Amino acid sequence: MNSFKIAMIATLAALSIATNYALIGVHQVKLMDFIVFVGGFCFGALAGVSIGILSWLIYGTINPYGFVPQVWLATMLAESIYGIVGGFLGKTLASTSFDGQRFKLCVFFATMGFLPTVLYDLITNVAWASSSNMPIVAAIFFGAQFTVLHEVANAAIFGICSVPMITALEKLSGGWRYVVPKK
Amino acid sequence: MSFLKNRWTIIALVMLCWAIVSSSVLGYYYYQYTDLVARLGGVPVPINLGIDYANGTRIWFNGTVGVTLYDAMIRAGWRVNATSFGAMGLYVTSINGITESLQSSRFWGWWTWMYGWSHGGSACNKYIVTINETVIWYYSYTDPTTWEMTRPP
Repeated sequence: MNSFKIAMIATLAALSIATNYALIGVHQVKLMDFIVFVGGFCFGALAGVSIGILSWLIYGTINPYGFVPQVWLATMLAESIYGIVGGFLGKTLASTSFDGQRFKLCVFFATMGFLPTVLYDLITNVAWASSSNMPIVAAIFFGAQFTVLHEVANAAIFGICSVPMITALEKLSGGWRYVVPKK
Repeated sequence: MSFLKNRWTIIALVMLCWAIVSSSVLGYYYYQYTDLVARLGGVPVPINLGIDYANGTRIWFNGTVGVTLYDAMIRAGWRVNATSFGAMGLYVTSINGITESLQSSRFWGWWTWMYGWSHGGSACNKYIVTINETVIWYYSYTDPTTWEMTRPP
């Protein structure tokens, strides 16, 4: 891992933590998942996972809503999903130009924001249900209003912001994405 | 990337997301409903219960209390014969000695008043009544071909 990547991981982790605190009053709408995904997309799955874990190490422990170890570990683990998905897609789309297919990519990124969030919410709901001795199915469905909001918000954020953010990071790294030159 | 060129892949992904949202919302409201029923299920409420024998006799039992419609009928002192269809509930065949008749095509059905009579649509023991609701049992003539029940007058 070169110094540029390490600097980008630190910067994106800081951005993710800062936006999470800034949006503390807006429930279920956070930029963290998106930043972890974009980090993974542009700099590889390991970078994405690192951003997710670093973010939760700080945001999870210094959190005004409290600290539950099981939930904290689950969120840290689940946050890595965005990094892994981002890394996989970044590798797959490494040499693909965004020009001329932005709308299609927006819709695609929106679904890629939605589907990992379903998995994330499932994992965290199971962890929360286990820690509070609640039936898992009941926990999943009683919390559905929050999970649906989280999923829809992530779909919107990923759909709208992915292409501009990836393009910006690509320019910052000298026209390269996932260590592959753009066609 | 080849899958991006196929628009059906994108449509399928969007439909998958939509299916997940719909299922989650469905599950949420189902749990809310069962929770509400569990909380209120034991509380009988007063209703305006009536019976019309389709021979000019209509009797009202206003203020009858019950949890379900069937419960209210029993508390009103009616003699009810019914066949159980398991989870679907009870099918009423006879009330106060008046039994349904295939020959004259007359069957018991219950109707609730909402800007006019609306057919109940569910088994009486599955229907949880609301406060001051007006419900009538009517010995309806039923069209033998369409199975459409005549509304109470």
